[in-house]
Amino acid sequence: MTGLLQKEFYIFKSISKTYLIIWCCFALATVFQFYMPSFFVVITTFLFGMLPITTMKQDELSRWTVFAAATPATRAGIVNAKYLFGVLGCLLALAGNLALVTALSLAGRLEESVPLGILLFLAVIMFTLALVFQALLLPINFRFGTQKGSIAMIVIAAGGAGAIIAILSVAEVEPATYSFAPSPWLLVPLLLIGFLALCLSKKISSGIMKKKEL
Amino acid sequence: MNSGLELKNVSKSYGSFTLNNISLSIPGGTITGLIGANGAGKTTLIKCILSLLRPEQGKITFRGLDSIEDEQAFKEEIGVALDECPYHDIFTPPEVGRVMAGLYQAWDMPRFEQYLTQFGLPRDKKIKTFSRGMKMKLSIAAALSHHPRLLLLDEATSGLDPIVREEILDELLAFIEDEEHAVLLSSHITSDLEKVCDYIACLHQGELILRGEKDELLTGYGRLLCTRAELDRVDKSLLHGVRASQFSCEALVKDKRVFRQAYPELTVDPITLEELMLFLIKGEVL
Repeated sequence: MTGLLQKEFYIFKSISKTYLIIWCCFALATVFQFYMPSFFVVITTFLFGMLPITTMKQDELSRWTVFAAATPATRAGIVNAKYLFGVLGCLLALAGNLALVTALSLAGRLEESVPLGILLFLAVIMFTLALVFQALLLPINFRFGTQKGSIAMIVIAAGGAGAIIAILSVAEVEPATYSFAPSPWLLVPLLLIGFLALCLSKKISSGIMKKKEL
Repeated sequence: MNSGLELKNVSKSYGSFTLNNISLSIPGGTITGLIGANGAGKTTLIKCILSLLRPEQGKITFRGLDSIEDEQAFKEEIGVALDECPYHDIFTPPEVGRVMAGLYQAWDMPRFEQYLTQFGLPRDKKIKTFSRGMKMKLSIAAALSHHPRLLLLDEATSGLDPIVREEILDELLAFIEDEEHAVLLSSHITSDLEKVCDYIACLHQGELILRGEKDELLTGYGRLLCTRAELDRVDKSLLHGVRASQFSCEALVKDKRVFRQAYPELTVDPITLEELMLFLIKGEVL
């Protein structure tokens, strides 16, 4: 499986400049308060959460998956590597988000927007949502390919947008009137739900790949 | 000769197509050419060997390893080059090497480097800048660099110029110098197969309609060119198929030697693999 993961990182390396530029643009816009930091958290998590789907598109273009299944990596290895890479993408987004909001807080640029605690809470919620997003999308993409998977993504993203807007509406309440103090313990079941969804999804994807005619 | 790849009664239905009860043996130290028209089942058969398609019945083994039960060990033994280069355009050859090193236990990086040098493949260029010939040479370099004992090539020489094809065929001949090594090569380019193959298997509409030693097939079968009147007086049991035009008839003679003894006045020409395939597939069965 290490070869499959390495392949994912080489693809990521090839698009990393674009990702870095986008990340920097959003980060700068957030620093200069063009929009709320919560927007940055949502966008970057979505961007990095999409990584396994992006690499899957590249795999399809080069017919890599067919070849990889013909090697000792096997179909199970292909699924495992994709999910692992997806989690790493989400962790990268989480790390970036935590770093930026902490930096903003230390620089005293969060006073007029959202409290640091809420933003950190939001970052972890978004991390969980990204895991759930991947859990929903990856089996569809393994089953139907990335073209049809894109349609599913739009449907899921539209549905997810409602949830995100709801979260944002909570997060962007004026600090003075803010009455919700998030407990860190609330994050534990949330993260558990995210990882459980991903485990279940991986099992489904493994079943799909096992039966799939390549 | 060592026992190599064994296919026993392999059947696979795939859409409206059925690969029907294929039994085939590829001994060590040999190259077997798989021929047939488009859609005959060549790729389906290779995909069944690689478990990319699951056969509904039959058994595939290589040196005693079962393709399903011992999947990983089975695939460690096989080098694969499909009709298109499977590596991402953005990779460089050394990156391909590092990825492959993580896929095969027996990956031999110095050997891969040696093939890159031998095939004249630049290390610093991305695959998207490579010609089709270079991509195919990279695929074959990778397929050979984990010490496989069986090489499966699906249309790997199609679309390549004669010089690159010659280089690849030379590499295949070098590969089978080891009696434990075997090659299954599917190709439309029958002249390539004539050059290097020891055995030929011909698929038509999912059926294995011919298999045998190439030299025996080419020395045994012959091509009779005659008039309709001459054809009418020939014993049809000596012929395999006929292709008739307005002015003449061509027939596939099963055994040149026997036929010449029976009809010394008729001319039987040697046959090429392409003509043999055309007769078997398109000839009117007698």
